[in-house]
Amino acid sequence: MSGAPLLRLERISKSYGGTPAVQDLSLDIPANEFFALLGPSGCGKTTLMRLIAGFETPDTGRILLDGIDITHLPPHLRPVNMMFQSYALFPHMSVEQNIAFGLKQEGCARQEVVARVADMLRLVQMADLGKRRPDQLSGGQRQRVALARALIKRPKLLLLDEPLAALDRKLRHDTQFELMQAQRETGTSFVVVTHDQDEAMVMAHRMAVMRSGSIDQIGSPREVYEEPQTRHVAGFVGETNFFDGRVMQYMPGGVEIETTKGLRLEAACRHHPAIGARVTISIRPEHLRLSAPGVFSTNGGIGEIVDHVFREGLSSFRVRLETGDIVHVRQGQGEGVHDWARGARVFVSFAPERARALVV
Amino acid sequence: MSARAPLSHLRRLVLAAPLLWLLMFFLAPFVWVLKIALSKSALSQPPYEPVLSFSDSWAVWGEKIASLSFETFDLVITDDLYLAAYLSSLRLAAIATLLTLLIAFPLAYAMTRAPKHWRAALVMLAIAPFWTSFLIRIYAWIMLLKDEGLINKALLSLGLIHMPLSMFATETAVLIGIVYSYLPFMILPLYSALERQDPALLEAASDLGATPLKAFWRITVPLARPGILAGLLLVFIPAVGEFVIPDLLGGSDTLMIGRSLWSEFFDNRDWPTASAVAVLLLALLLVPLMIYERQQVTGTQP
Repeated sequence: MSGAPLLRLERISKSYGGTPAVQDLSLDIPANEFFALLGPSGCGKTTLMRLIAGFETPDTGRILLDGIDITHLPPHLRPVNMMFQSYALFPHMSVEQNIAFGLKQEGCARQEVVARVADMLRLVQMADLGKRRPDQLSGGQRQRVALARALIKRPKLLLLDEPLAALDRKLRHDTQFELMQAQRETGTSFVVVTHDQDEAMVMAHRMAVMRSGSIDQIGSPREVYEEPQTRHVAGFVGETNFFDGRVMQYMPGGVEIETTKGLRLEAACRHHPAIGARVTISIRPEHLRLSAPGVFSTNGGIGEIVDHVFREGLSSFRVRLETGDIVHVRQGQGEGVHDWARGARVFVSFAPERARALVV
Repeated sequence: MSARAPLSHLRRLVLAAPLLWLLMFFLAPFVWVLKIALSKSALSQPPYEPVLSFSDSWAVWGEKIASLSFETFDLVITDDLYLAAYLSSLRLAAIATLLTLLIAFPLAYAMTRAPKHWRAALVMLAIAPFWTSFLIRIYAWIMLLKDEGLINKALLSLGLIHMPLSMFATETAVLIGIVYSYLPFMILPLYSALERQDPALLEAASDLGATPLKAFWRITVPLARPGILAGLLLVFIPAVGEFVIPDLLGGSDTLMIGRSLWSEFFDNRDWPTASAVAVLLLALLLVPLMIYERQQVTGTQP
């Protein structure tokens, strides 16, 4: 990242009939980045995307592209393109005509249009389907046409609205990698809007986790997963277990809390809560350990295996602690991992540095 | 449908119903009219002498058909008056149909852009004129268009004109009448075609650099084509044969085939000629229908 970012949102706000959809939001996106806007429905991510595309105008704030203020530029004049969730392919045009549409609006020479459409068809592996109509294509093929159509003008920024939502599970998996490849090959910055944290985790270089019109946290998928800043982020990105409680004392690199159910737990903490402050400990299922209950057991609680599911090479357990908390534990196979049966009594514990105490 | 199961009795019945309807109320009367067209005019009651009779045996029919004279058709085709009436009808109907399209398109477009909860009410308003008798509405236009009618009075009192405009009993009045009467038949198919369009298509066009006007021409209009064609037919076909509007609003020089037909029937009491006029009119109107049919087929087939 050098110099000014490709896209800069400066304190953007937008509300509909008094209901704020985006609130005082600022965001920088550099060139050649795969960026994901992640959040539950109604968090404002779609509004944010429509603001960038130009279908909406912010109430306050500025949008800069390459340092140029485009806040009030109509969509057809913005060097930004968008792939619609419904794909919005023109039903009365062939695949080629759909892809060529953007270039024709520019008044591009005929030969160049033909050559660039052919390039795009190759990029999305649709070279022999150019004459088809959208209604003769499968869902996955339509998605590729939509991508090609949005990329043909070589936009600096491509917005993708839930690009995988209409595809089935298997296809979604393959398409993720195709999108990543398209992003690398074109060097265009991709901004993907999604509610699916898996998609964001797989594809994005960086992601922003949104909630009620603002961004909770921005970072690489790994940072967001390993160092969630808020309870919402920890819960939305990946699976986790929460223990609510109050700070009892400071420990090296963290705090010890007493949970509302009376457990004493120690966890790393990046904030500085006061003694007695309400915090939540977030601990990922793969960081919980199961062992036979013993004398030296610390930082955990005793419970009983309620469910055991084996999936994709991992064992998942649901354990009901004596305190009544239900926790989710995930273990890989091999190296001394015990296969606990249902009903077995176990001690569930974790290393404090693996857990995060988050200020509520 | 890939598997062709034999049709159940119920389905046969359902399919037979419209066919039966057409047979009874279209084909049978048409054959009757055709029979009259091939008859000879006579001073009797009814005023023709049938050449063909449904009570004749098949053998007699064959003989008679072989020796049929098509003199009524000859007359209608060769007489310049009929030709002029046909052409004039086609011309007036075409102009009126295009005017209707030009007025209905923005109306229908605006209706689809209105807030959703308003749309049902707007559709009701579009067809509201049907709640009043067609004749009364045409008579109302006489009151508006006459030399001493409301429009002239208003314009005179505003000082915009010093002499009444002669609008009544002109082709203009006929065009106004047709456009006014058939407007709902254009609005409704246009509305239904436009309402089906995904608004995201226009956004996509705009996102790809199309100005609003270009997006309209490249996306909205082509996708509304089925509605446009249906509307054109629904207005053009009845307008060609229109009788009441030219009779009430038109002048003595307004030539329309519906009027000629009427006067053959009732003034001249020449039923065979009138029937021949009607049969030829129907044949004429099959042309746009067949074009439409072809369009529908090519439209659905890629």
